Amino acid sequence: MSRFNNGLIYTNDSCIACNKCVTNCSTFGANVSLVENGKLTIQIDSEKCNNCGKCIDLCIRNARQYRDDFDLFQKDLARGEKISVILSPVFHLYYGEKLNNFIGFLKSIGVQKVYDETFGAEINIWAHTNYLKEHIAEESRAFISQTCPSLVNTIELHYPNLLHRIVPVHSPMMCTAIYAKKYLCDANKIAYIGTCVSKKDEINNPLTFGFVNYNVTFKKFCEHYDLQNMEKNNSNFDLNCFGFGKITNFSGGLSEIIESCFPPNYQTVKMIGFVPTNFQTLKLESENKYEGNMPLLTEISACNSCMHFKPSMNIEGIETSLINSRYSKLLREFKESSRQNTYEENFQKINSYFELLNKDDFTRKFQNRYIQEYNLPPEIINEIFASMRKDTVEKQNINCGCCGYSTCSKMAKAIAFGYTRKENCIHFMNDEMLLRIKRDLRTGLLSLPAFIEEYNKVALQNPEKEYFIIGADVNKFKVINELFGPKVGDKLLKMMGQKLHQIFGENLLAGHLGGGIFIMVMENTTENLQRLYSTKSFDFTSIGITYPVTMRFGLAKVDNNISEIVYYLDRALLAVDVNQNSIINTFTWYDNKYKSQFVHESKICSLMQDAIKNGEIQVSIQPQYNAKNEKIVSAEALSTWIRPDGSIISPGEFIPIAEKNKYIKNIDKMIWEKAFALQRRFLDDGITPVPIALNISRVSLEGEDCFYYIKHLLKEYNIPLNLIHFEITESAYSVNQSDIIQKVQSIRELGFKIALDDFGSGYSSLNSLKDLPVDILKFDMRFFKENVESNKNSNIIDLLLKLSKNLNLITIAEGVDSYENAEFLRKQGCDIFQGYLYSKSIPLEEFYTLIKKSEISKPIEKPSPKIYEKTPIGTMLLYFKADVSNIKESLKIKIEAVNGFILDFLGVDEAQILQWNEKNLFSYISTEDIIPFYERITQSLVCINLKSYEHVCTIKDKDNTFQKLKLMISPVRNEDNKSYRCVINFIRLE
Amino acid sequence: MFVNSFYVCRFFMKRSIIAYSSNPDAKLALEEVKKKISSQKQNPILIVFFSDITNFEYYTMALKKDFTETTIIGSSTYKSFCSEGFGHKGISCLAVYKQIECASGVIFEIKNDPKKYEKNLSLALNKFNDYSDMVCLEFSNGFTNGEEQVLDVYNSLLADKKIPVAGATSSTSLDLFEKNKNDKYAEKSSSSLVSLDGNIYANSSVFVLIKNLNGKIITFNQTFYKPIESIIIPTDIDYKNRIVYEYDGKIAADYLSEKLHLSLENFEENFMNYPVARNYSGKFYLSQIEKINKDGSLKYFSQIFNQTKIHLTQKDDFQKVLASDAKEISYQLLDNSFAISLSSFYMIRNFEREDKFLPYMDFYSNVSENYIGISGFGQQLFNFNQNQTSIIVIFE
Repeated sequence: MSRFNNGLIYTNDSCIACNKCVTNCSTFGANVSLVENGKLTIQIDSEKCNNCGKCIDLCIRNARQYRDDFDLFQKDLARGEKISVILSPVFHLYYGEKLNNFIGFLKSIGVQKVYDETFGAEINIWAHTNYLKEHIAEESRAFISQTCPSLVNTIELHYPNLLHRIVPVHSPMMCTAIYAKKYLCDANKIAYIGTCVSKKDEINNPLTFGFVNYNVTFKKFCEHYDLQNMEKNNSNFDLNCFGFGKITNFSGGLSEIIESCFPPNYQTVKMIGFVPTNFQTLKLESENKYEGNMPLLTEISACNSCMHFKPSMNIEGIETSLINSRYSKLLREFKESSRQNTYEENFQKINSYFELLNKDDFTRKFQNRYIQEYNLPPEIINEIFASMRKDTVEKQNINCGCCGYSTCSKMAKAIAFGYTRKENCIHFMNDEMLLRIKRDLRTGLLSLPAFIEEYNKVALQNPEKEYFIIGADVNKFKVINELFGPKVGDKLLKMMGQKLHQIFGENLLAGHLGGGIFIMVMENTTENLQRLYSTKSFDFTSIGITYPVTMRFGLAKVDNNISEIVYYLDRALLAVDVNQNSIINTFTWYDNKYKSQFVHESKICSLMQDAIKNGEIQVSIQPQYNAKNEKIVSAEALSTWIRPDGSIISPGEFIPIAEKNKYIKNIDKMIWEKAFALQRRFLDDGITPVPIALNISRVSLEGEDCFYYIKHLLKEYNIPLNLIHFEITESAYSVNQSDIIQKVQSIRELGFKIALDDFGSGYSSLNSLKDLPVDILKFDMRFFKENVESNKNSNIIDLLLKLSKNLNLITIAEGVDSYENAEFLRKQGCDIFQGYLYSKSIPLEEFYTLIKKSEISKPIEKPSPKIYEKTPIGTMLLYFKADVSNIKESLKIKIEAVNGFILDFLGVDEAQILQWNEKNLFSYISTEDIIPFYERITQSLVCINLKSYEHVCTIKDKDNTFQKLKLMISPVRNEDNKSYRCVINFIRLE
Repeated sequence: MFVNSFYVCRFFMKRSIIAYSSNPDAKLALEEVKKKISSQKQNPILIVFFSDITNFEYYTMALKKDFTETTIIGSSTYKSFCSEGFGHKGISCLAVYKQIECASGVIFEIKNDPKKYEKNLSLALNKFNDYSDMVCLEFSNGFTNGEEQVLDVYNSLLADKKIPVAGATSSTSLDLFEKNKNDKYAEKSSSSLVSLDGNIYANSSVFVLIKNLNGKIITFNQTFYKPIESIIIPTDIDYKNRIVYEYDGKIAADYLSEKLHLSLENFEENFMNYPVARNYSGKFYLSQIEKINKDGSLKYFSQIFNQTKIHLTQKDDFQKVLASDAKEISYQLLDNSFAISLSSFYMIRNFEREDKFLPYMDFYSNVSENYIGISGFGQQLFNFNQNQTSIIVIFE
């Protein structure tokens, strides 16, 4: 159950936390601001609320509601409970002559007796006057009237020093009930029908408990009962008043009567509402300075003008002027009557009405419910101010009141006590918003707009100075996030910001654009450049990154003639990616050639969309020939871009750009469809076609729809599967390999042959061939162009072809443009040739005619090699050091980081594995795999250009079962050139 | 006659003595301490005593009966310790015979309205003409949640006179504490008691203003926990009931256990080892969890305020703290007469469990020849109510 909203007044879902209730509430802490289910709302702490109901009146959204006993009253009445009713005096004014109809209506619904509260008000006046007469001589008189339950609540809860000044008599309602019970011996339950919400407090108060059972508000009564036809009922009060009590309807009525009973030098004061100034006056009234001028009585109540405007009154249809007129008449009559007598006679007259009553019956006690507030030490207020960025005296004294509190200090106090939230301060939120706009939250550095703004200021102030802009990106930031987790990644960014400031000074203008990208401005001085260039790498061992982190910096000099900083930022960022080195920071000055390259790319890019739409990119086919009989055995579909002016843009020029901008997906699809259609045409025309190889770019493979589009083409053109091959470049497997392999495998499972294109140009090792879903190996002779018969190249080609043979792969040599090459390859056992020696790529129609006329070769068939499905299980970062001359003896291995998958696989905890050496590691690797593992490491050590490679080995899991895993090893040489680190991805082979 | 004179001449009245008895028989225990107090042939000006809760009322009345002219202030304690011994049962007394002036009083209704009794402090204060070298020693009833408000009352009159307030919240026996801990209907305030001049008080704070006519009085704040960098911010609190519902927007118990890298169960069992430190302007004040509520909120022994920085803590090096504090105290005060230790219930309990209690007593032996100590639920110094802390008041 919530701690709040449990009292008489509560907040409903309509609250929008506008703070109006807080502003107007007389009680500090009664309104509590909180976020509930993501929504800001202001709820009520019933232990502090005085239930005056002001907030119900104020809230234009009707978000403040109250609880009364109407439902219980109505239910009890319906089941035959005998209930008498006390009617508030407000009904005299409200109904006037029709009051008897209302009384008749009450009796018609089962009410036993109806009492006029005015009678109780007259007892209350009688008790007040007698108490005041008895205590008139007291030094600190200045008594306070007792007619309002909210006033009693307020004093009991918040002003205990005023308790002894409240006239200790029962309220008019209680006086009526006590009279009915004790003097009229009414045994019925008693309900009060009126307009006051806080009467329920009085009913439930242990000191006044047992006389009244229900507080029924008139508003809820009217919501249930139809009073339109009440005029058919008629009845009288069972207890009638003497009349003078009717003027207590309005605040100030009681004072009028009291004054009529005392000499003119005894004054009364009238106050409305529980604003602090009223209570301040009440406190002052009893001070010595007031001696001789103290008021006899202060009449104070919660409601603003009179009882009938209370929150629980049904005010619809009220003629306010009629009510005021009725009241004026009553007041005039009372004044005329009282002026005819002396004050003594007036007093005697009131006494004469109640001479048979026992005063003690109408005397009540009050309870001190005050809890002293802790006087917060200034340290706490200062801390709250600091958390709200109120760091100046001005900011601490804005005192706008929007938060609901009159001063900033009061709000800080309310925050400390948990009554409100700093987010309720619009100035804090404005500052916060500005900060968020101006600062990057992860690094604390400037955001891009703020960076630009700050630079402009600096440049304006220092027109004589020259600056250069630096863009910088953390190398392999994604790998760091993967290995060490995003929290460490975030820490790195934050620390990087600090380090940049440490290196280049606190005044460095630095910003963060997201990911690992930083931007800076420095004055173009030799000293600054030296400092920049001398930064080789960054040390993050304190956050667990044990190897040096490097950045690639791009620099652009600012030309003072062009003021737009963004122009130079783009240049710097363009230069960032030109050079990359994992071991040492790189610094690249922007050069115009990067720009021309960029401009050229942009131009091609801008033309490409229309080119695809307008059919400027056309399909051409390059035939492939059987090496043995030199007949056409297959072909490759290529693309050519012919501009409307007849100029040709080569695939080598536009394909990389299309890949970068994802247009390649559309080009791929266009070529595939044309190739499928061509094969269909061959079949339909009764011509035996040769298989056509179609390229799938990495971008197409990454998309989810590639597989389904191929299936769709297969279904639409209904051609045999062996007439189409797909080619995937080696480089396509370099990133996210397992995912790519899975996608290629699914295409292969449809029945298409898969060719590995451009083998030898990129990242794969010979050994990895056996693990890829490949049927055809295609290598480009251009990689061996220098001298194909040189020992080195011929050995590699020989090795490649032998390996392919062992793996049952068909081999295609691309770029065969000389007889020498062809002869050499034929000797070595290459299956298929493609190149200018035999045919360049030709238009579709030409190819159609060629096939129609030519004798084609039988297709070359080889059994499919076994491939594995791969599921990555984890990543490990390994540090190793060895002397190349004696690796076995000198190898030292240390594990620097692992992820949870590996820990789980091996069944070891992180602390344990980080202590491992090479012996521990090898104890998990099968004996026969250790030697190849050494060889792999040797390769890493001797290889100048370190490349990723793969190695399948058998590793013991936590259940002591040996499992075959593929290790993808990416080595990096450390700065000392003697030791290495490698990231190893473990892939499960199933 | 000659013999008597000779005897008188040889008798040198001490300024203060410590009397202690752990005799389980309260009458015998009282006799033992009375005998020692009376051995000085003069009524003491002030007696400060601590005893177990069971016999506290008896000791209060009986001491007053014999030392009618003496100001006697006392508090129930979980364990009393002094230069003469220590124990959970029995009574320990500090009796001061000369070179001090005292004035005492009671602040009532500390749960809700102690300010009303400010005049009692004012009256006591009026008995002094000069406010130098003074301390206000106070003991408040436990479980009232009123220590901070009482400190307000004391400091409203004493702060500008630079009189430090040093005090303790009275505590009780372990079995009573455990019994009442989870019983919201138990009248907790009566389970720890304070007394002044033969009268027992509940929901009150008794105080004695002491002026040292022999030199300085220093107050020393000692803790065995140090704050660590990990900071949490209370975001939902009930300050009057000292409850933290949420830290950083998350359920307090869950979040704190997570930050401490403990399972919730482990945290619930060991929360006494993890006080938090409030950081006000760079000074740290420890707060101890009293209990973990079912809704995951945490009830503390001292106020924690919303949106203020709260540091997690870790145990400091016990021996190093003792050595450094002993050095600091000796640096501040070369020659001391007696000391009063206002220590923590949980701190002493932890020391008992970790076999550190005896070394801790050795520390006091080095601080002063005459010392007396209480292990209470709260420790108050100046404006701040703290826990897991020892406030040491040392008289030159």
